[in-house]
Amino acid sequence: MRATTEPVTIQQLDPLGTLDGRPISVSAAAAVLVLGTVMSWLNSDAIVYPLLAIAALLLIASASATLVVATSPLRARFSGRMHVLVIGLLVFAYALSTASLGGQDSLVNDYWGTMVIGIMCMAIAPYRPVRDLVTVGVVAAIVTGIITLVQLSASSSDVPPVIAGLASMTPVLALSLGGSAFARSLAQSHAQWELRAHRAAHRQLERQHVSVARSVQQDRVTILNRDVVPLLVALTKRGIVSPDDRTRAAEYSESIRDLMVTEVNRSWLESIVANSFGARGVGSRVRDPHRLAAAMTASQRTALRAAVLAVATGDELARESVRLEIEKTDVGAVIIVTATVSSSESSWRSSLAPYFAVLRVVFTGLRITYRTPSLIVRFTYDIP
Amino acid sequence: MSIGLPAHLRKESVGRAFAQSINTISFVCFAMVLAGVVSLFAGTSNVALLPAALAVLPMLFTVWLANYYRTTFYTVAHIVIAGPATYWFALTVISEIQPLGASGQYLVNVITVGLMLVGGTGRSVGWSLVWFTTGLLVAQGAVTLASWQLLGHTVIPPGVILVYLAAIGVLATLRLSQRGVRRVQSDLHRAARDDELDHLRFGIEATSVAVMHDTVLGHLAAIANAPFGAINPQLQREITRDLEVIVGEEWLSGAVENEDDSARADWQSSALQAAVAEAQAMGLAVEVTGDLTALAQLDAPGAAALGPAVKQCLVNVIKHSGAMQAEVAIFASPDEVSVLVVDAGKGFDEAETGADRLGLRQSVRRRIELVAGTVQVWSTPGLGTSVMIRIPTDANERLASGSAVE
Repeated sequence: MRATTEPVTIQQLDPLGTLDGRPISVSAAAAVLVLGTVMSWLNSDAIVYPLLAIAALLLIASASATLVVATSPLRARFSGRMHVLVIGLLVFAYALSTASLGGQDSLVNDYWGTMVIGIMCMAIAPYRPVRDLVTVGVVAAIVTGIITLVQLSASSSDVPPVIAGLASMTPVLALSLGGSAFARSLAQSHAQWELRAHRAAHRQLERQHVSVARSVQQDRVTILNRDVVPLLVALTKRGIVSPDDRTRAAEYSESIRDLMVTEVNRSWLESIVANSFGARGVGSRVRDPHRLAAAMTASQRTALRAAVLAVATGDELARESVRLEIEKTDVGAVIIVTATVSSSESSWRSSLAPYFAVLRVVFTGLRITYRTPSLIVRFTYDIP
Repeated sequence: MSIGLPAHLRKESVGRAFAQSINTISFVCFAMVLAGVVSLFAGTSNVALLPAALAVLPMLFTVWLANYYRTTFYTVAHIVIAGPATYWFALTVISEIQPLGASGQYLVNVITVGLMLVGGTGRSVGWSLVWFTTGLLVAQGAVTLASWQLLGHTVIPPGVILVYLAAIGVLATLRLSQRGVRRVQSDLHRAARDDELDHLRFGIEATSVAVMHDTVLGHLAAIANAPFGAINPQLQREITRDLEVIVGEEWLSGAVENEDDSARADWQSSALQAAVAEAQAMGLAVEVTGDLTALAQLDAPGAAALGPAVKQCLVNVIKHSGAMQAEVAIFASPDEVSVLVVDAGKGFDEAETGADRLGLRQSVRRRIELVAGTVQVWSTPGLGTSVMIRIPTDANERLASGSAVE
């Protein structure tokens, strides 16, 4: 329910596409560092306070590192705080690097500083909602403009202040709005596809309703035909209840009730685990004492189902070691998956990364702990 | 709900998103140039930059059109109009701002970048490359011509070339990265379909458990507790009727949808009335109060779920409460119909009822939840029990949109 009311990111709508596109964000993070270093070196003659210039480069390096680490598929979602942190570091870096020029003309010597902010605004586009991208971009552009004006007032430049402000704002504004347009366009494509797919799925389900109903009824009738129907038919014909009828009726009633209780109590997760790992020992594989599996949303079920199937059919984890536990927390539920790794670290990391990328966007607080050879994956979700 | 775009749509969608992104950057560049020119014009009246401002206006319009329609025609039209406009712009700026200085250079560079970044149709990398190169050649050509005419020399700014290379780099990386996780994506789509199918099956199974509970299990329990000898004729009739239905008909599909709406509106033929009559036949004194016509507000699935659920509540009164009187109160609001079943029996604690008790859980709660309704139970040991069943009047619609809401 929450996902539809909150503004969504491309990462949430298309986690695998975002994972595919991550090299662009990583290259952008590397590129701004290279750009900053090379341009500082080329303009080294103009730098009056080298310490400030070095501090600016260090800030750019930490912003780049933050982006690379925080967008990793093995970590939780890229948060709004991270977004502000990364861009804030870069704006601060711009302030320091213009200050390092003393009274020199920043429009000539430091135009790269605003490019760095703009490039990173664009690199973040898949990870934040469009509204946030626009807001952070515009605010960063305004602050950049102000920094430029402050520096200009202390310099000997004859550039008109408005032009200097616009020039420093242009890369930030153009690239951040460009990134927002990218995110908005992809989100629209996704919404259209979602609508079409939903309609098609609904029609398909309507067609399948009859056949599923028949198959369920057939299962029921088969069970009943074995003992119950002959007893009831005989009774209605005879019209007399014998002691034997009473015993049999009680016995059948008990066994059918047991069967139905087991069926009703089995969660979708237990069914999937039983189907993919084999029915034996499902009770010890899946522990869900509070029956919280039922509280997951459709996309959470889908992501977990795909991950369970992948683990069951792959050879990265030892099949018999896989355990799932769902526990209540103060705010919702936590799923803890434990398993023994049976392949090299790089192998399981690369094979399972796409599934982690999906899990981390549909669930909250994904945490992966690996101590050879055991792997523990935890993630949480809200319960109504 | 599906997660992510299928591979065949992703390529197209990313291409389109890239084109829109490029066009937006171009639009912002033109807008900033316009703001710059206007500010210079307003600040120093001796600089005649009005023609430059006028040159930017059509470019803003054509880039907006090219972005909106994203066809080859509008893209070519944009370049054809923006080329001469850039020439005119450069001519004005270079002649009016002398020496060109940082401000003039900024204005000329940004308009060149704006024209170079042509989003095009966003169909393929090859085409994007063609549009960028055409844009660069036209823009740089226009500026070079103007500069050469007025100053006799020209300089190609390295910044513009850098932006060109960066845009191509991003484009290539974007395309190269469209490979990896296709198998996982199709796993996800399959999982989404399986989940929907499971959901459907789960719902049907729950209905079947409720029906089995109300019919076969009820009869078996009645037989197990019946005195030896002749069978109760009422029980015999019910068994015969239920056997015919369970073995002979498709009781899990179709039946509910085909029911006639006008017949349901009539209390005398409602499933709720039938449930009350059956409970009365078992010896329970049932008083029905409230707005009987409210039942007409329910749609077919809602009405079909209400009858058996109330019947189970009444059966629970007979079996467990120790009282032989109950009240069924019906009231309605525009969005939902509520039915309250009250007895003055011995009450119970729902948490302490056995895990194997299917009645309240399956026949009442689960059945009502399947039509998007809610069940609340208030019971105090010694003080009786009230069960409130609320069913939305548009249960069918909610069922249809159920997975979308999730």
